[in-house]
Amino acid sequence: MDIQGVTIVRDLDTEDMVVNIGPQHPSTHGVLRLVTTLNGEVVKDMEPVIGYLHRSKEKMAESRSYFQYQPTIDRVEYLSSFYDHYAYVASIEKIAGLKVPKRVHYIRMITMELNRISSHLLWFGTFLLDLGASSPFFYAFRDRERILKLFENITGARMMYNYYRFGGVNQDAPPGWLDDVRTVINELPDRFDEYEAIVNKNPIVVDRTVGIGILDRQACLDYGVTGPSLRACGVDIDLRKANPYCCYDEVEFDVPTSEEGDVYARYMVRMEEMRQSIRIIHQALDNFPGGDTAKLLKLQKEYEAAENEIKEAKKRVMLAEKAGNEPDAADVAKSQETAPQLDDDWKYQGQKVNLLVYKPPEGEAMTLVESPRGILGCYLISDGTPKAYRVKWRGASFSNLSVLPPLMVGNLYPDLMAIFGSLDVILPEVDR
Amino acid sequence: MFFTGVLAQSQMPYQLPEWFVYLHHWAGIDITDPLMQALMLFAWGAVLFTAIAVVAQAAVVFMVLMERKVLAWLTQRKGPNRVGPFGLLQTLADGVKLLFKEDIMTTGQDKLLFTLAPAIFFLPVFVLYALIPFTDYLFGVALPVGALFIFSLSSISVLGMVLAGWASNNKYSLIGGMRSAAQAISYEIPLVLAVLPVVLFADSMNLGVIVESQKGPLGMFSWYWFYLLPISFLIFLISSIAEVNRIPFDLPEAESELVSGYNTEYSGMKFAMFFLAEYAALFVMSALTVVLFFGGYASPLAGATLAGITFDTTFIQTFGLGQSLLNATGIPSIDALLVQCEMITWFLLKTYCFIFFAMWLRGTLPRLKPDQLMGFSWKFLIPLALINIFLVAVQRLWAHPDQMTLLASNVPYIVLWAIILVFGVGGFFWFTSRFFTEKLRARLVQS
Amino acid sequence: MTKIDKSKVQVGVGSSIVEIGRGLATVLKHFGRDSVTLEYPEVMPDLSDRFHGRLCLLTKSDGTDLCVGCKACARVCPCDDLIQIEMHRDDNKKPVIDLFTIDMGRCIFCGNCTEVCPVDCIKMLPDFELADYTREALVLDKHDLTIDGEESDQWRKGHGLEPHVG
Repeated sequence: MDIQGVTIVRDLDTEDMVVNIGPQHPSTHGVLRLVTTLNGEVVKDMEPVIGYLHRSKEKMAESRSYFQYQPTIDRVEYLSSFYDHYAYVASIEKIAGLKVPKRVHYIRMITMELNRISSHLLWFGTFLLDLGASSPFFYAFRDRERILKLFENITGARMMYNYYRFGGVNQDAPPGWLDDVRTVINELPDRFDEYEAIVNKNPIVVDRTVGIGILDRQACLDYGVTGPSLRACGVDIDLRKANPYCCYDEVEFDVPTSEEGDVYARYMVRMEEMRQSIRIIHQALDNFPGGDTAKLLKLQKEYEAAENEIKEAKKRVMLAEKAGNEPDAADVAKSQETAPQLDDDWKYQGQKVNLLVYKPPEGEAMTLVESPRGILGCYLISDGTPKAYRVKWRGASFSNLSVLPPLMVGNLYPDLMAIFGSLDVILPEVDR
Repeated sequence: MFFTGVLAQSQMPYQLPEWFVYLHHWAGIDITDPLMQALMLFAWGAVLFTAIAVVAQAAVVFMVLMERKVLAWLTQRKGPNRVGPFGLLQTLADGVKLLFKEDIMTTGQDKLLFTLAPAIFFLPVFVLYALIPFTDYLFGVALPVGALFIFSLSSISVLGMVLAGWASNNKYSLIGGMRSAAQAISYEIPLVLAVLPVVLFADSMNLGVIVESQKGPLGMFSWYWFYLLPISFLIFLISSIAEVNRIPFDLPEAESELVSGYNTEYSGMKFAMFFLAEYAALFVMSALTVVLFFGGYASPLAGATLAGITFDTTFIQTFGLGQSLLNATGIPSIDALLVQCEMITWFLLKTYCFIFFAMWLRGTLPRLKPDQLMGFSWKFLIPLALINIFLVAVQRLWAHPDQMTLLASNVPYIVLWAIILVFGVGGFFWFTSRFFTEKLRARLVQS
Repeated sequence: MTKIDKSKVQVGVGSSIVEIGRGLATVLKHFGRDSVTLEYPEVMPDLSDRFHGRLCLLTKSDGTDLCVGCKACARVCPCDDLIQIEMHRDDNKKPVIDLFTIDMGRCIFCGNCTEVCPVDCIKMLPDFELADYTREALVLDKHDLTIDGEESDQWRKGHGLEPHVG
């Protein structure tokens, strides 16, 4: 360069700084490494490095029996593992053609929707913590705690549920559980209002999220982004509506969408989804087949007593006939009766399977469910042995994470927390 | 009264207590010797300052606990309650733990600057305590340019942050340090600009005089905050929170982005110094808000002071202890002591209200982005502050017609000065820019 | 399909102050509410009967062994060799358990073993305080695992099972 007769050999240039964000970093939500090239505070390039949490969950399925493998599914996506269990169990049910009672479907639906709320609540708390607000984090965890308590009461565990079984669930809901659920979901909308009073129109939140990290529709489809992130850019795909599994065709709910596709839209879509989940749970509770367990147990006892009476009567009739006596007319009448049976749809377990040596027939099945993070798939091939031939998981987080680098390039470094937080990625599901 | 004239005497920031006379009898010191007088003055100042520093440390220790408790209560938790009654000794326990921690130095650090940075951060903040008039008697030094001095000192501590960020050899620290520099430059300007109207109103930069000038017949409504200078007050409040790096302006140590920002690599006592200084700065800034806008130690109800109530002081006097204590401090009577107690109570009450407000904000708001942070300052706060100064200046001129005539008679001089100013400053910049660019070019050619 | 209207979120100076004020007020509302903190060592959490906690071996009501040594639990356990059982049959063909150890340090508390037990012997207690100083101390043997008849009956009562007499 030549300015006013002075030759400049080297211009004042700046060097890019490469920052390794993670694997241990407060806002990577797990063990993710983002090799980020920064020019000042502007992100020039970003490359996610994954695999720190790889535990070969798919391969494990091939060396374990179906039931033995099931607890490890919890560890794939620990914030909403009911969905993974459902995908796995439903695949087996499809292969084996197991009939699932309706009560089981409703229990599954309630637990899954509660799980969606708890997962979104955790997302809400950590997302705002990433933005720097601390109180909503504690409020969200306070309310999530109540849902976890419900899970503890029904499954015995707060995170690693291991509750769904082939053709049923592990145990019936404890007596009074449905009322507990109703109490919790009646109070939650007020809490959501409080969150939204703090967050929704807060100028700092709005400044940091509106117009930031805009995902367009085509990019979403190209990268395979699903779930709320996809719906936030206007694509109305929700498997609960598009391909109703469980009993989702029996409940009414809306699929919230937004056109903008920015961080704020994703936030709003998730907040609305929680309210819709509450709507679903309310309907499921109202139409719960068999009603509360305490009532059902009482009914079962009555039926058993009736059956016993008939058996006794039959016995007396038989004894009398053996002895050559005329049997009592009342006994004869009684012995003709059939004992009332519990409706098949009121049971918590369909056909009883021997979990120890369970072998579904040869076949393969794919189950897709709408998890809080997007479409979750389980592809299962059975070769008729007690061990699966192959289990393939399609986690939503992997695709959702892959869209991060193109979203980040050109944005500021602090936007990383808003954008990455809004994608709601969970690393164990990415690495599996 | 004994101390009414103290503040006005800028040469003599405080008076020696009467018992210094007895030093002549006890130790044979010639108290008429001016050198000896100066020495004693210095010694007494040191004693006062030490007392204030101890109080400051205690205040900081209490504030750390208060912050944790307040944040806990705002989020339906209990907060620390294990060490001591109600967790009162929690901060002390943490401090002791930090004292015994290993002082970790990683490779590639600039050892000298790394060690120096916490001290540079720590010292100015604690010097600031000397300037704050807790009462009209209890203060370290009554500088005639107190308001100016405070801001010049508090901007030094930013240097500590930048040095810490640089010397740590950590990229997060570096970004944090650079952010703190950018933030300090952005927010010290509105901070000072917000204080100028106060100076215009009080006709003084002496903090004590500023407090005294706020005493009026309307009680809390004759303070500067409400209808006199609301814009100044808001700008000052926002900028002071930015100055002490608290949420929503805690960019230098944004924990979700920069892990811990400029103090990521610090451990043990060095970290504790950063930690303490941050809280001390919060206290100083809250105290300054009170001094500048909330009447300092003045009672919020005009005329209704505790001094109006007659206390039965015979109890204290019978023991003869009270009076000797008073002699030692230079306060003439028990009543005056009670007035002092009342003043300090009001002062601390108001200060802790603002500290609580800062904690409350921390519990509510998320963090800004650096570009928003600087945009908010340069595009909004500074123009607003400038307009505010102009309006206040006009108002002051309006209120004092004699100054208006003074101004009118001086118009030719003002015009002259303006011309000199424009050409002088412009010429200076023109010269320096030429000079520096040439020098720079020469260096670039060499390399 | 609910469309989310975002035209409402334009922020001006006045509304900013109002919205920040609203946020501050909402946070301050929590000041008077009861804390949800559980002061753990003094107050124990109220756990459900189904809680997946420490594994135990139930006994008959008279305190004799219930386990028949079928090793079903070991077979469904997802952690390899977590449960180790050795047994033989005595002269009356009754099973005698020689060794029954569970490495609680590696247990993932999935509850698979409790489900397949044919005699409802291995079960879980709502007890989560399992920390110890060595890994070896976490390997519980039959003596550590077995709970006496009275406790077993209490467990069975809590879970709707009949006492196991004889």
